Amino acid sequence: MKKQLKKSTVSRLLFVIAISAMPLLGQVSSQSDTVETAVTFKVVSSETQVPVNRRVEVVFQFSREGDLDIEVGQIPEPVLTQFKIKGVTSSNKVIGTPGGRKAVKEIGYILEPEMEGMGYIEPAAISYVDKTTGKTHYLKAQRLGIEILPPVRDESAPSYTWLWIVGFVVVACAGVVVVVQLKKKNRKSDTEEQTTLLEEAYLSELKAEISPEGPDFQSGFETLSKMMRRYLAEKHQAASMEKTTEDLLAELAENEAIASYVPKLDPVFRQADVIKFSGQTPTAAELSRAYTVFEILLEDNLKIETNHLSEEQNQSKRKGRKR
Amino acid sequence: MNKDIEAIHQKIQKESAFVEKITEQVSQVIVGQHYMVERLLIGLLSNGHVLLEGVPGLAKTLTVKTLSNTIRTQFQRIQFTPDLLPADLVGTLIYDPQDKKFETKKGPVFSNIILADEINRSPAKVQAALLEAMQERTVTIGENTYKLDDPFLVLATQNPIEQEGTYPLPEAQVDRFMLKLSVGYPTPEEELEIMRRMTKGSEPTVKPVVTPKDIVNARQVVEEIYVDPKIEQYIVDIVFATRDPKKYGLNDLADLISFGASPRASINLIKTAKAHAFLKKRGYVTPEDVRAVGLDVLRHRLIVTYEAEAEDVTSEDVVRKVLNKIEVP
Repeated sequence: MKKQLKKSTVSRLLFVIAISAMPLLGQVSSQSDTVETAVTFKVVSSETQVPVNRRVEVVFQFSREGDLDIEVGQIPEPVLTQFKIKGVTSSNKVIGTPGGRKAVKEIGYILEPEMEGMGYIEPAAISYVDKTTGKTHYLKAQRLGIEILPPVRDESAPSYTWLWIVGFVVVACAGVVVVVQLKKKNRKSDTEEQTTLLEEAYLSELKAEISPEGPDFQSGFETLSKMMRRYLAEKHQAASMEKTTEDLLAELAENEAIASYVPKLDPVFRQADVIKFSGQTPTAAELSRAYTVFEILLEDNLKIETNHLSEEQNQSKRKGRKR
Repeated sequence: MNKDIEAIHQKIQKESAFVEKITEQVSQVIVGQHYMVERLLIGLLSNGHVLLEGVPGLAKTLTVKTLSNTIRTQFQRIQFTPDLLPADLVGTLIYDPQDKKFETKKGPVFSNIILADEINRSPAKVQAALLEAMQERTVTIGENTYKLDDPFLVLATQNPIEQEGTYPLPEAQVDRFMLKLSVGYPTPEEELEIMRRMTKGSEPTVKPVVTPKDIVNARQVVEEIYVDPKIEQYIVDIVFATRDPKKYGLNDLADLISFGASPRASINLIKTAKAHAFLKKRGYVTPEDVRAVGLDVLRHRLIVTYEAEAEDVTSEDVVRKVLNKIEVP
């Protein structure tokens, strides 16, 4: 009796285990029911490995064979690990089979890997109702693992090596052109400096701007005074435009290069002040005298500069011959 | 020189004769300090008050006193102290029990030359009373307003050190002084002469050589001195450079000036430049005259920023930079 009881308990337990284990079978590949072998739900992928910089398509496939009268529930969105959905496709089709025909409903997901390692599409469940019996059946698709590999070079992407080389060559050429142009410009300005000295420029400006014969002696004197100050500023780096006559003369007297001219410049600047600030009109003789003082100063300095230049040129020629 | 300026020139020759007399008398007592004496004369000639700043013992008070003694005028020295009251300065109403009415008792401000010694030692209300008289040239006691005599000149002194217990003059009140002088130490030669002169026993004295009428006449000539439009523009450029330094290429000053000089600065620059030209016996103003008085007219009219103070840049440094940068006409 006891043995019989034990046997029946064990067989019941085995039955319960067998029943409860039945849905687990569907996780692996498909699930069958009464109608059973005729209805399947699975997740498939053409790839088992995918590089991290590529995408993979995973398809949830629900199929039934024959003319079964069933109502299928919604295929849920998959739960993903290490993947994210980048696109969804769906299709419904009927395929002819040796035993009749097969209706297939597919939902495809384009997945993008997030990082290297193992990625998973977690098990998904679906329900359907057998209208002939009124029973609801559940099917569970298996957990699908896809290995995510390190990134691979994109063969289809254009190669930038040539672009880099071309770019480098263009920049180098442009640099060479700029340097050559700058050197040319410097050579040109050097030649200009050699040909037009400061004194020469001022002498021609003096002749062009001021006429010692008049008619406007006052503005002539004012222009002359400004020109002299400008020349001294350029020649001797004196702040002659900002200094008063007294301060300027004091500064020039301390400058060895111009000190000998101060006694001649002194009366010109002082008279210029009288003319500028008291409204006095100078005579032709006064303007002529001031004009001559500046002209002599420029000519003397021009001689010095010309001699200096020719000496420098001779020295450089001698050096060139020695080489 | 044109005829008008020639006429002014002749007037200057005639009316400026007293300048030598004053200078000669002052030099009998004061050794050196030509800068201070000249600026005091400029104040006298251009009818502007002068603030003298310097450490104790530089003969500020003695110079003002000596200068006053050379002029036949009423002179009053007022020692500013913390307990001084406005009534002590301008006067008050005193009740006469016999006549049963109030009588006006005029204060020391009713004088020609006032020496306000250590002006920053008295509270603001006393300073304000004096500065009001300086500006309006009138004093109101009770219900009556009295006009002050001409010439009326306030020469105030203050000590830049020992600021404890002082009442520094507000900027708006300092602005009323035409010139602010910074009195410096004498040279070693001058120091030697001071030592010898002041230890002889008897202190040198001066005698009055000028009348108030001489000064009034001289002032009229000063006003006639010719100022060319180029000089006027030069003054405007200087003053505007303190307000908008960037416009005049003084970018480094832009962050150092909080407030530039007011139009009162332009007015005083032109007045003092004329007086300087008068002292140089010239009938017209040159940039030299403007430059000579520029620092004394402008140093107390600029307010420097906190940044400038942190960098030890004074308003004087700023004015010097402006004067050195603006192109002379």
